This record gives sequence, structure tokens and C-alpha cells, in this order.
Amino acid sequence: MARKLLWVVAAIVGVVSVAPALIVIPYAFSESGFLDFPPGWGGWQWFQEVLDDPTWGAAAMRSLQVALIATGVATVLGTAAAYALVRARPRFSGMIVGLLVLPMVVPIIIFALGSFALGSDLGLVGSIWTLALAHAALALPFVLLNVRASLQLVDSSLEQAARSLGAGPLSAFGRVTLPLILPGVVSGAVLAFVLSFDEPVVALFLSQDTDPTLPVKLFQTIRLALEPTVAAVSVMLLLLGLAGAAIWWIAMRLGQRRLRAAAASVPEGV
Amino acid sequence: MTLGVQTVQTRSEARPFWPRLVPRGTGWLFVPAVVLVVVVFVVPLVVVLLRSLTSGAGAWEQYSAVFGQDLYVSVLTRTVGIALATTALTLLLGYPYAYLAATTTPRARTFLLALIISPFLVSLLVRTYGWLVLLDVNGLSGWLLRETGISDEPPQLVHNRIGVLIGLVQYSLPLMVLPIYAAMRQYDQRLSQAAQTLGAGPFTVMTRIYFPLTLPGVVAGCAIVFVITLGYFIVPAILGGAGDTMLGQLIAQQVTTTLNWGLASALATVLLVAALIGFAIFYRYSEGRHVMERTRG
Repeated sequence: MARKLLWVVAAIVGVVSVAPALIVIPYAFSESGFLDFPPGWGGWQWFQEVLDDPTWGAAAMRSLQVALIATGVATVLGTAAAYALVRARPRFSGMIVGLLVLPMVVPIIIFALGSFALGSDLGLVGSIWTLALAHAALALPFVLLNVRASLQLVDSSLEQAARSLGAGPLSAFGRVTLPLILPGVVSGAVLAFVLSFDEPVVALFLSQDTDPTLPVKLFQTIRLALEPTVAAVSVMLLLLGLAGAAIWWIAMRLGQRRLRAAAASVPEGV
Repeated sequence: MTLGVQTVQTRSEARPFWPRLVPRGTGWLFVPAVVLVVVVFVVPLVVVLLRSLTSGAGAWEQYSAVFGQDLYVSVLTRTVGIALATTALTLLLGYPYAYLAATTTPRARTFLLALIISPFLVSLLVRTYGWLVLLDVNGLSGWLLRETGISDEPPQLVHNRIGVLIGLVQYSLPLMVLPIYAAMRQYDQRLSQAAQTLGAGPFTVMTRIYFPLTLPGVVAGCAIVFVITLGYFIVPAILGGAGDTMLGQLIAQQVTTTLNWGLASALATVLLVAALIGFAIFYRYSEGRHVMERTRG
């Protein structure tokens, strides 16, 4: 009885979780420009409209550029920091981690306001690089925490063994440790990319109105009118999200296999 | 052969034969990350703090406006109220969900966990737009209510408080479920058995043993949901009506339309203090503490 009640709650949570994502699919093929239910079948017209409108493509391109730079910066700096904190254990490690995860816990509107204040004083608002660095700072904690979790699973004596057999520090890291922590690095990078590509608030403050990123353009369009073009863009984003999840899943599987192989190749007691 | 061994021995006098466990200099590899976070993230927060204090006649002028004018006080109390309601609703749905996920078969557990994190795959704006379409009088919810004969004139579920709460609850559910689930997985089932052998009924086991022991997860989940909801801006802006303005929207409004930087900064500082208190609670009860202990060695 109580068990059944639990499943009822789970069903509600499940519906709440997936319903708003699924509902956009029929509306992307809507017959009319209104959002009445049922939406009818209007074919691919809204997709065509999105593809014909150069501002959607420009917004997607801008988001892609920002997200790629942000992912690169956050992944390199976050991985380096995780390596230092796990392996070298500098003094005040706890405080350093606390500082580095700060972007994850401060409400984003405060950061958006502050970066806009600073950016407009320095004339940096509207630049792709300003927004990309802001996103890199937001994404850094996710890379740090993921890579750190991976590093803690990898036996540091593997790298030591490579070094004692003559590998330089970089080559030992690149050829032994990096392949083993790759799942953590990849999932950190995927999270960083998603975070930046889907980030509307900081982007809203740091973009010119004429040059929005994709989430900013979506926000502006939704506020103006409920066009089915938004549903068509949403379906494209859903497909992109599924592709990202697939990449992440494959990376995790590969990584697990590698870790197991590495563990098997090391004799007991090393 | 002998020669080789000798070479090694001679070299080992100069430096240890085994290379250092950690290559020299790697202890400083965290510095670029710290520079990025300080310059790009911390400095803007300091700018906000300074502007809140220096833009009025006296240091506290903006703050006396924030806490003295009815308009701002009502937005503040409304924001806290919405955040509390979101936290309570999310806990009400999330605790049983986490319990089910923690106690069911491995296969069902995988499914339930995938389901709860699936919204992370979908853009927040897509989900919010989805709610707008779904909850509108002319949308699916209104159609269902009319077709099933429950209501001839279905209520409007968006552009009001209900819409804001639904959107925020959906956004917060994974953030609530995951820490509670983590705490429940650490619970040792033998404790329940021990209590039952000693004569405790299922209700007593739940309230006096299970719940107190999983409380850290609950506190962590509530703190993170409360803090995130306090500052949220996109969801109330799209799903709310004129009477649902939250603190985040007010801050944005003060900057973009009235250019009142001082007041916006003071509002943001109030929000920051509230968030830091929430974070302190979260840190105290969650992984943060273990993280600190572990990294200390």
C-alpha cells in the first residue's frame, strides 16, 4: 500500500520532469501560428522558417563560439587545478576548493550584475571573449569536481612507475594519467559546454541586444510571442542534448574499461 | 651488468632513485584557475558590494531604501515566500522519490535516476516554453480539463503564481533528490532491523531512526534549492504575471530600465548574504565537509 503511494509520487515527478520537454515536439509541426491544443499537422514549415531566418543561425553560431572557448578554458584550468589539489596537496587545499566552487553557489543574477557593471566600465560588454571567460568561471567548478573524483580513483604509483622507467613528467601525465582520468575530463567538459551553451542570464547582461546568444534570443522571442518557431528550435536543441548525452555515455563506458584494464595490468602489491 | 647497477647507485647518491611522487612545480597548477575565478568572478562581486555602499549619500542609504520602501519589501517577502514554498513542495515530492530510488531493485533505480536527471539534458528555456504551452488555457491542460468534463472553463495556470511554482519545482527536483538519495544510500539497513528486533514499529523506525539519519541529505537539498530559487530570474519572468516579480527580476529591472545601479547592487548584496548563509548550511551538512577533510589529508 505504502509502496504504491511511493510509485504514485514517482509517477508525478516523472511526468513533471519530462512533460514540458515532450510537449514542444507536436507544436514544432503545428498547423497554425497559435498554440491551441491539439496543434494539428502543419509539416516542416516552422523548421523552414527558422532555417530561413539568419538571426537564429547567427545566435546559434555565437553560442557555439562562446561555449567552445569557455569549455576549453574551463577544462584546461580545471584539470590542472584538480591535479595539483589531489596529487600535490598544497597548503590550504580546502580553502582553495571552497574558492573555486564559489561560482557554483552564488546566485547567478548577482554575478550577471557585477560582470555587467565591471564590463561596461571597461568597455567589454558585447565581446565574445568577455562572455566566454565569464562562462568559463561558472563552468570551472564542474570540471574541477569531476576530474578530482576521477583522479582519486587512479593509483598515483602508475604515473610514478612511468617516471621511473624514464618518462618525463609531461609524457607520464599525458600517456598514463590522462587516458585514465579521461572520463572525468570529458564529463566535466560536456557539463561545461552545456552550461555555457544554455546560459541565459549572464549572456543577457553581457550581450548587445542586436547580437544575442541562442538562449537570449529564445528568451526574447518567448517574451514577445508564442510562435511555433520556438518549438522548432526546441526540437533541434532536444536532438543536440540527446547527442551530447550519447557522447558522454560512450566516454564513461570507454573510461571504465580502461581503468579496469589498467588495474588488471598492475600486479598485486605495486 | 655490474656496471649498470653501479651507475644506478652513483646516481642515487645525487638524487633519489625513485622520481618524486608528484613532479616538481605541479603544486602550483591550481594558480591559473584561482586567477580566473578571482578576476572574472570575485572582482565583479566586490564591485557590486562597493556600488551598494558608495552610490548613495551615506553608505546605508540604498539599504534603508531596500528595507524601508513598501515596493521592495513586498518583493523581498514574496521572493522568500516563493523560495520557501518551492523548497517545501520539492521536498514533499523529492523525499519519497529518493526513498523509492534508494530502496528499489537496481534496474528500477537506474530508471528512476535517469528520469530525475533527464531535465538536465533539456535547455531550461525549452522546458519553460514547454510549461507555457502546456499550462495555457488553450493548451493541453485546458483541453484535458474540458474533454474530461472536469471543468468547462479551465483555470489559467500560467502568468500567475501557480505557473511560477510549477516551473521552479521542476527546475529544483533533481537538486533536491540527488543529495537525499546519496544520504539514503549510505544508510545501513541493519539499523532498521535492529530497532525492529528491539520492538520498534515501522512508524517509529521511520521517524526516530531513518529520517534523522538521512537528515543531512534533506538539509543539503533544501539549502541548495532555497538558494537557487531565491535568485531565479528566467522562470518567473516567463511563467509569472505582473504580481509575481521576484528579486532577480527586480535587480535586472533596476539596471536595464531605471539605471538605478545603487539599488540594484544593494538588492544583490542582500541576496548574496542570504545565499552565503544557505551555502554555509549546505557545506556544513553535505559533501563539502568531507571534501575539506579529504583534501587536508
